Order: sequence, then structure tokens, then C-alpha cells
Amino acid sequence: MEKPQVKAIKDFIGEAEEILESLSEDVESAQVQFESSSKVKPDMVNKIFREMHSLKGLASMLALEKITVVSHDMESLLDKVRMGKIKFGPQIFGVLTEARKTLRQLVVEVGQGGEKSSTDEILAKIAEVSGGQPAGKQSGKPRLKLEEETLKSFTEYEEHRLKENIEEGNNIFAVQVGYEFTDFDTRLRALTEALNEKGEVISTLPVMDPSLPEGIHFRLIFGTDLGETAVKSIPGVSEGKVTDLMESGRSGEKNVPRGREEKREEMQEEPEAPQPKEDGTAVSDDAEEIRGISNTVKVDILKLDEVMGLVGELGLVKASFRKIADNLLGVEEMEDTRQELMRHLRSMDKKLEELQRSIIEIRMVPIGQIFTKLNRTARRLARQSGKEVGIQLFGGETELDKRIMDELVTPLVHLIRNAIDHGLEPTPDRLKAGKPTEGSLAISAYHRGNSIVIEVTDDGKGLDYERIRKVAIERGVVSESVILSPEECLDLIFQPGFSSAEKVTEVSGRGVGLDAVKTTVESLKGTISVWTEKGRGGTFQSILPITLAIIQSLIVRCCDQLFAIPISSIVESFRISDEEIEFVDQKEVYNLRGLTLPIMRLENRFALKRAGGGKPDTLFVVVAKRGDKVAGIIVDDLEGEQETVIHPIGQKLGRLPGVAGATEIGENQVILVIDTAGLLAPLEAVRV
Amino acid sequence: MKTKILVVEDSGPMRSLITAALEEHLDVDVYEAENGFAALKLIPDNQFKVIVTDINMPDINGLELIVFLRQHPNFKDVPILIISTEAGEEDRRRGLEIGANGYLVKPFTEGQLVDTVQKFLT
Repeated sequence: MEKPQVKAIKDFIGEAEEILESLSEDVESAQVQFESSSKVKPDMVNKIFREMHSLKGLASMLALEKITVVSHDMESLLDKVRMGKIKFGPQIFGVLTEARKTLRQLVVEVGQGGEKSSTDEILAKIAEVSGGQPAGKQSGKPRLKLEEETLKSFTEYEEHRLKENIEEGNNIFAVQVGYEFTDFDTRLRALTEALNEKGEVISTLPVMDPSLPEGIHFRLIFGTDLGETAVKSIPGVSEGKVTDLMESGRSGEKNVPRGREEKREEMQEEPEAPQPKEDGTAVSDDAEEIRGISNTVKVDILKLDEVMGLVGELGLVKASFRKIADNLLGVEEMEDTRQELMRHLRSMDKKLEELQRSIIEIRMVPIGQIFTKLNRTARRLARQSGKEVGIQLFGGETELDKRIMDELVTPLVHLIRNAIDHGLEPTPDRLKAGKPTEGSLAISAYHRGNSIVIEVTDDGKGLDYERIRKVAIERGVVSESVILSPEECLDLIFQPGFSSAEKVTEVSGRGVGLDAVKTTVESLKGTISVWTEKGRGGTFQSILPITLAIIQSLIVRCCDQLFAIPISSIVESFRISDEEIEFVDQKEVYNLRGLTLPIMRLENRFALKRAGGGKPDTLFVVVAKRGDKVAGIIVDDLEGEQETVIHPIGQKLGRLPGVAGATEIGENQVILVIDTAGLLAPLEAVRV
Repeated sequence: MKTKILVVEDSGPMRSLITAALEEHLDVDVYEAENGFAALKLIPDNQFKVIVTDINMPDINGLELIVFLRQHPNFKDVPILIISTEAGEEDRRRGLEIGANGYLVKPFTEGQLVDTVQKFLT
């Protein structure tokens, strides 16, 4: 894991880059507003102010002195602007642009070891502009029918906005609304948005009044040139109460000196072309602007899939070259050409392998990327459950394929929920058991060969075999007569429809249980298992390939052709003789320890021709999984296990059910990788 | 149950830093709200011992939240700590007037934050 300080700096650079980028956009929008109306909208000024404010806050927490000072001085300047103490003008734009450049440069330097650039010049400029011209008239306290308490809850900025609205001749209304607690935020935001289209919501005050009906109530202070009737017709307002706050009760469109609509039309009639920007900056400055600060590119994972696919297709092209070379074998006058071709093919081989490895590496990300989110979720769930939980995360630096990581989020959240809800006991039970009141939940990740192992461990009550069995029988997952070993008992919790929680809780809910987790893990070619010690807790362990591009396969032979079957989808394999294959309903089956196993001959499925026509004496059956059921694939021989890189293949074959892709084994031999689920789909697979 | 503290702050990194500082040095469980609305949602179900709030936030600002809390039967006496900017002097003054118990001016150190909250806890 990175040192906290290093991580903090990295986070800061990313965050600061984002702030500076949106700052740049907003200054540009402000400039467009200013050029067309000699004014910048208050919400835009406020947004720019807040961006400076955020940047300052971030920098100060990391004691980045120069950035803190510059953004602080800019913040103060912008504060004066938004309060109307200084007018927005070209000078402000100038200093804003320059300050942003300096800040950006400083952020770059932070990434390179520390702030270096001098800030004297920019600070002097900010000071010069800050002393600048007053924006003009300031009136006393607005005269409104508002109680002291409400006025006091206004920030200085809101008070300023209120004054501005009154000076512009707008009416001020209070709009009081009440909402259900569950969705008040979305509804209130919708209302605020509707109101802001017709004026300005100056303040939003939550109201605590026991005389009001249940839910939550708000009082919005709204400035507009509309009259009371028009305000009441704004969507969402009708369900609330509207009060005119103007002292004299002057309300009506009449006393508005100049309607806003009118102004807008005027603007549209003679749109001023945006003025060309000053051209004083050197090209290198512009280039510096455009270049990103961090040294990384974001790539859509689909693009990488595509590149991986191309590598696969190149492998096939290479195989056809190889075939040409083979055809030349024995043609004496072509021997030199053949030798040369072979030499190039070997070098191509090496390059392709490197290319493949690089792409796989690019797709690797540290699992720590989701740890932060998992930690947050775990803490929230712990809170909801009312249990005390200490959460520990190990192995955040362990890398795996980005796609696998993304797919793992849901199952991991599920396991965390499960541990908090069903694993860890409530505090009184823990005390009784002599355990510390705080339950422990650990999520750890580590590599084992080409796999990543992820464990979710809790020190709760553990799984109770007897209860699992009882519940499984109740829910019809298993019949009462079946005798189960402890392992088989544990396995029941992954069965569909099994959920051992006695009551439905907010955290875990019911039903969508561990079977969903298992399905996802298996779809990623992984396995999941659980072990437990009664009273001491339990561990859910998932083992997954670090990339789906490389998998362990069983190489099988049928009619002198080789095929690869992913090991993760195989249950077992063994030798049989042809006579052991029986017919049931005119379909071939095999009696597997009393279970009627539907089977499929690979040669029939792929219409392979057997040389000589005769049938082999012995066959092999590969028992493969299809979801939670099994069926058998009949092949001639087993050749052994091998690590295989799966290449997606051309569109035609790709759509053939039962084929997952192609892989290369040994001496430039390209063989098909079987997708067992697709292959066995026509069979009625049976549950073990 | 650990003592619950509510931190209302719209800047994500700032919020995390505050949470981390408080959880590391005090035996408390920090609940985070990214804006006033989120804070309002947490209030009915949680009895916070101290509330730390920023002032300048979208939706509802810190002062509006304080007025509300002071009217709420469960929160009328709960210590409220304002965190504000140097520029926000006037807002801080208002905050204290409507019932906040103290303030910290950004940038503040981890120590200042932890000390102040601890003082409110005892």
C-alpha cells in the first residue's frame, strides 16, 4: 500500500486538477455572460468562489503553502465580488486567468516534489484588484416582513442577494412546503429548480414546528419579478403556502421597472459576437495548459478487449503463414524461403507473446480501488445494523483484471452484508460469549499463482450445521432422508432459495442470497467456499483468476483433434468403455453412481470424422457444469492440463454455441476452447 | 455504542480528512453528510453528541441547519461547531448568535479540531 502521505498528495493532484478544470470552464462561461450583458450571473460568481474555496481547503489540509495563500487571496477577492463590494470586470477576469495558471503550475510542481514557482507577482495583482472600485450603492437592512430569526439564518451572501433582489424591484415571497421524509431532497430540488427558472431562491430554511403535519417542512425565500398569482402557478408551489414578504404588500407585475423577459429578448436580438481573446500568451503556454498534469490515460476497457481480440486474430493469421511454410517442406528449391519464413514466424511469435502480456498487464488494477468503497459500505451497514464493527482491509495492492474487479463488487458487498447481519452477534451476545464488544470484519486479498484469493472473515457466531440443515429441509432445498457431511451442509447455503436468517432485516433482506454470489463468482471462472468454527466466526473464500484472458484448461482429444475445456467448469473426468453408455428415451446417458447423467459425444456435436470409421474401445467422460447442474462430454482421450490464453475468434465462429474462443498450444497449434454451458445447452442436465 | 458525531461538509476530501482525524484520536463514530439534506436525513434516527458543520454549502447552508437544530427537541442543546473560512467572519458571528457553540477557521490543524470537539464532548 502507498504511504498515506503519498496517497494524499496523489488524491490532491487529481482533485485539484478537476477543480481547476471546472474553474477554467466557469470563467469562460462567465466571460461569455459578461460580454453579452455586462453582467455575470450571481450563481456563476458563487460557483467560481466556491471552487477557489474548495481548492484552498484541500491545499491547506496538506500544508501546501503557496497554493493555500494564492487560493485564499483569490477567495477573498471573489467573496467581495459576490457580495457586490467589487464589480465584475475585465480586471477580475485578468487576475482570475492568471491566478488559475499559477495555481495549475503549482499543482504540477506538487506532483514533482514541491511548490517552486514564485507567487509574488500574482499576489500583488490580487491585492491591487482587491482594493478596487466599489460596486456602488449599498442600502440598509431590507424592510421585509421577516422575523429576526429567519434573517439571522441568512449568510452574508444570502443577505446580499436579498438586497439585490429588492433593489432590482423584485418581489420577495416565502414559499412554505412540506414533504415526506423519504423523498424530500429530490422533491425540494425539483421545486428549487422550477423556482430558479422564474427568479432566485435566496434561502432554504428547514422548519421545525410540531403543529405541522408529519414529514419535513421548508421555507424558501424567493425573489422574482412575478406576482403572487404567477408564483402560485409554478409547478410544485401549489401544494405549499405562499406569503408575500414585501413590507408595503406591494405585489404585482406593475412595479417592476423592467421585466426580465424583456431583457432576455433584447439580448437575443443583437447578440454580440464573443470578442477574440487576447493573444498575448505564447504557444508553449497554451500547450502547457492543454497537457494533463498526471501521467495517465483513461481507456475504456472495451478498447482493451478489442485489442486483445486483434491479438487473437493475429495468432490465427500467423497459423496460416505457418501452414504455408509447412506446405513448402520438401520442395527443394523453396527450402531457403521456408527457412526464412520460419525465422520471421518465430520472431513474430515472441512479439505477439509480449504484446499479449502487455495488454494483460494494462488491464490489471489494484483491488484497493474498490476497498475504499467497500469499507464505506461496510461502515454504513454496520451502523444500520446497530452492531459495533471494526473493519480491516488487507492486500489492497493485489492486482487483478479490471473487469473481474468490477464484477466482484456486488458479491463482495453481499458477503460483507452477510457477515455483519448474520455472522456478527449483537453486543449482549458477544459479551456473554466473552468476546470484545466490537466485532471484527476483515477483507483480505492475496495472490496464489495465477489466482487472486479474496477472503471475508468475521469473528461472529459462525455457521451452525444443524440449523443450516433444518432450514434447508424446511425450504425444500434438501430432503430429510439425505445424510450430509459437515462440508455438504455448508454447501447448502449456496443453494438457490436458501436463506438462514430467521427474520428479514434491513441490511441483508431475504432471498437474494449466497447463491447469487456463487453464480457471479463461477461466471468469472472462480470458486467460492466457506469454513467456520462454531462460536469463533467464519471465512468466505473466493478464488478467482487474475485475468479471464488466461485460464487453466484440460486438453482433450477427439477424432485426432484437440480441444481445450476450462478446468473451472469441470467437475470430474474418468475412463469408461463404450458398452457402459446406455439409452434412455433414445438419448445416450451414463450411469454415474446411480445418477443418470445425460451425455454428448463431442464428435457428433462438431461433426468430426473418425479416421478408419471404427469406434475406440475406451472413452473418457468429462463431467461438466452447466449452472448448478451437470452433464457429460464424451471424448477419446485426455491430454493433460495447460494454461491457455483465450482469444476471441472471428464473428462467424464466435456465434457458434459451445465455442468460447481459440487458444494456442505447443508448436503453433491453434485449437478451439469449449464453452461447456453452450455446448451442453441442448441436453437436459441434471442436478447432482 | 460509540459516541456519534455528525460532520456536515460538502467537500469530499475535507470531510474524509475531518472524519479520519476524529475517528483516529477520539473514540467516536463519525457520520458524514455531504450537504444539509443528507444531514436532515440522519437527524431523526441518531442522537449526535456533537455536530460539526460547514456554512457555505449548496441546498441548505450551515446557518439554516443550525436554526433548525436549535428548534428540534433532541438537538436544542447539542454542541455545534462551525468550520468556516476566514472570509466568512460575518457568517461565523451570525452562527454564534443563532446558537452555535464555537468555530474553527480553515485551515485548522488536526490538533485544533480534535481538541475542540473533545472539549465539547466532556
